[in-house]
This record gives sequence, structure tokens and C-alpha cells, in this order.
Amino acid sequence: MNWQQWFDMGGYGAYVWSSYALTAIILLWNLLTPIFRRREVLRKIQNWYRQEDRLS
Amino acid sequence: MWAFLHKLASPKHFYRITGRWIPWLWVITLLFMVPGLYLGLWVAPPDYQQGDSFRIMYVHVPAAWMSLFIYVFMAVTGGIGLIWNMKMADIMAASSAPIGASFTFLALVTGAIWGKPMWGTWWVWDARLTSELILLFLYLGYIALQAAIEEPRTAARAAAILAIVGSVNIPIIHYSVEWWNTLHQGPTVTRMDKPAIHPSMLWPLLLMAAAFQVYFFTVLLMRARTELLWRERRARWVREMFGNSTRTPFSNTEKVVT
Repeated sequence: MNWQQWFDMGGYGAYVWSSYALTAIILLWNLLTPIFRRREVLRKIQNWYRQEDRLS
Repeated sequence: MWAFLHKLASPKHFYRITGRWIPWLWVITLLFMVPGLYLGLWVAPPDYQQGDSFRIMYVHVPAAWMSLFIYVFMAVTGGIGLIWNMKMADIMAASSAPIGASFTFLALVTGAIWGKPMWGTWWVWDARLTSELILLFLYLGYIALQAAIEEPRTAARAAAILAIVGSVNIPIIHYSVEWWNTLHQGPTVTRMDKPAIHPSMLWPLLLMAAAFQVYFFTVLLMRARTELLWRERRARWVREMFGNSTRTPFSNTEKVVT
């Protein structure tokens, strides 16, 4: 089996590869959202502490 | 074992212990996923009826399994939080919802992409497809309900009740292909006798299913740890870890201003 045949997937290439591409997007989304959310939360927590320090 | 679980229920220990697990969980995910993809996309022979389009199964079926598993996980952890008032259980339930919704969406769309060449249509209103769509709405309803209530305890309680009531849909999805005459095919792997699938085609499926399972727990822990920090921001251990703001890299810009 050569690369060309492999990408063609017996004529179903568009269906197979779009499914796998969407899977990759969903898996990446689930990985990146918690990373960005963590940065946001750490920033919020530190602002919150700073405010508390100022008040006390 | 119980002592260990008890320790995990404490936010501080949960945060510390799971932080050490995450890199290893990624390694395990890849150890399942890389051979799964190689066997599924390259080694397994084309199906005699479906040709190469059956390879969509290797992402569609694990995604569909996970959509059910995560829902049950969410209802059970939500129930534990409801009965025993456990903060960690609440956080687990809330963190699993968006992941479950994304897997349900993935199962529905890859199913449609498979349906087009095989059935000649993207979508039919048969029992399996419709009940899976309802599952997506249950997840979205759960997320919306949780977001609509400010106070975390009340939000967790209300959402847990929704999750438990909605779990009636899970057996309906599972048995839909047996109870009704659906266009969707019946189970091939979980049959009581022998799986009606050749080992060379079954192995990649099992590897991908295992990969998705470990992946779920990995991203779940990542979400849960962050959510935990936010809810525990008043606790001393969080403050000791992330307080002392002038020395953390996140306040570099602020330092210039003040």
C-alpha cells in the first residue's frame, strides 16, 4: 500500500479524514481549555489576594 | 485503599497527588492511542462491506462509549456530592460535563459522516440517534443550570438532581438498537457470545477505547484541579502556594504600575 492509496481510503478519504480531524480538534479543545482556564484562575486568585491585602 | 480514598477527598491532598499523576496519565494515553491509530488506520484490512469507511468506527465508537460513561460518572459523583456533601464529588461532576458534551458531539458528527456514504443520509430520526441527541441536550442543560446558579453548593445540588433524573436516558440509548427497529447497527463487541468482529479489527478499537478512557481522566483532573483552586482560594494552603503575589511571575506587569 502506498501513501496515495492510503490517503484515498478506497474512495472514502474525505469521510475518514474529516472524522479524524474533528476528533483531533475535540481532543485538543479538551486539553487547551483547562490550560487557559488555569491561567485565568491563577490571575483571578492573585488579584483577589491583593485586594484582600489592601483592605486588611 | 479506604485511607487513600479518604485522603483524595481532601482538597489539599487531591491537588498535590493528582498533580503528580497527570504526566503519567498522558504517557498512558499515548501508549494506547499511537498503536491504536497505527493498527486502525494502517494495519487493519478494509471491511468487506464498508470498505475503508469502517475506520471511522475507531473514533466514533469510543466517543459514543465515553458519552455514556461520562454521563454515568457525572450522575454518580453528583449523587455522592448530594448525599454526603462532598466538595470533591461536586467538582468532579461539574468538571466532567463539558468533556462529556464534547464526546457526545463527536459521536453524533462522526456518526453522521459515516452515515452519509453507508446509509445515504447524514441523519435519520431513529431511536439510537435521537436518544444520543437527547443526551447532548442533557449535558448542555446540566452546564447551563450550573452556570445559572451563583452559589456553588446550590448549583451542584440542582445540577446533580438533573443528572440523576436524566440518567434514565442511558439504558434507552444502550438498548435502543434492540428495542426498536433502528437503522443503526446492533452491538458487535458487547455481545454475550463472541464478538462478531475479527481480532485485527477489534484490537485497534479496544486500544482507542482505552486511550479515550485514560484521556478523559487526564483532562478531567486538569479541569478539576483548577476548579478546586478557585473554590478553595480562601484556604491557607492555596494562599501559601499562590499568594505572596510580588514573587509570582503573574504579577510582573503589576509591579511596574504600583
